Amino acid sequence: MSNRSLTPRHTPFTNLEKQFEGLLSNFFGGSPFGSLSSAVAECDRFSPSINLTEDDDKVTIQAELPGVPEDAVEIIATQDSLTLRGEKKEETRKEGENSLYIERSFGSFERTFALPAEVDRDKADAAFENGVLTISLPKTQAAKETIKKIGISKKK
Amino acid sequence: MSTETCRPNCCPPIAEESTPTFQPRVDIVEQPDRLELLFDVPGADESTLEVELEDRSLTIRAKLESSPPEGLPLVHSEYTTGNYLRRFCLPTEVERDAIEARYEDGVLEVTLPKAKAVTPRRIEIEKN
Repeated sequence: MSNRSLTPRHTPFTNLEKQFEGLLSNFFGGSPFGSLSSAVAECDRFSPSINLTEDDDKVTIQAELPGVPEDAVEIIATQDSLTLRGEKKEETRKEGENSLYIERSFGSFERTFALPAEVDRDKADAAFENGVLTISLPKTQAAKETIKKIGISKKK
Repeated sequence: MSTETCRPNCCPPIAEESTPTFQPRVDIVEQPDRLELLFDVPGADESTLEVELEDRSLTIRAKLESSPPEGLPLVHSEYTTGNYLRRFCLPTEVERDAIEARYEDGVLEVTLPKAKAVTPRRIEIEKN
């Protein structure tokens, strides 16, 4: 196996992509230059990576939150969007320490994304295991009914 | 000790099966008497975590549990499943029998006490 197959799990671009999301939403609100410079400055800040799956009954979101305790995460759901908010705290550095390598990122984060279907917030369920948060959001009856198979009628 | 002496990846990577392999991010902090290593390995199953020390080469391995529920299509994906692997040379000799590893909230913490021979020692100067 070559060296190349050993890839960093998160490239600076992953974060840039996320910052770009924020840029787009900030663009019309504030000064574009202001948000650009803060986006560049925040590239090193922690932001969770997210996977989103969907089946007939529910939408499942998984977020990688290593080192974030359960009580430091806030999940806010609306019918069609979800916000993850929280903070990954840096270990306090003591005197006499010598940091040889710092790659992990820290800081507060907030991500909002649109859900692919309308969900029933009251039946939402979240579990935290090994630093991965899994949120399960059952679809509303109305959302389930929008999926309809259309039969093809044969010509007589 | 300078940072040059501790380069993650200074040892060649190990041949692995075809599953995607990721390098977990690491923080290495040197205390006067020990080295503290913190790895971000979200999603790693505790039973698959391996910490191995051979001479001065330290290897961290873990398997990522199948992350998206089986068979479901990913609508949006920012990470994939695979294995974690990181290997590097330690900058100093350590007490091999006193190495401790802890796993919590997706973070693996490895503490390696420095060998007695390399711990800084204050030498008293005798007075006449």
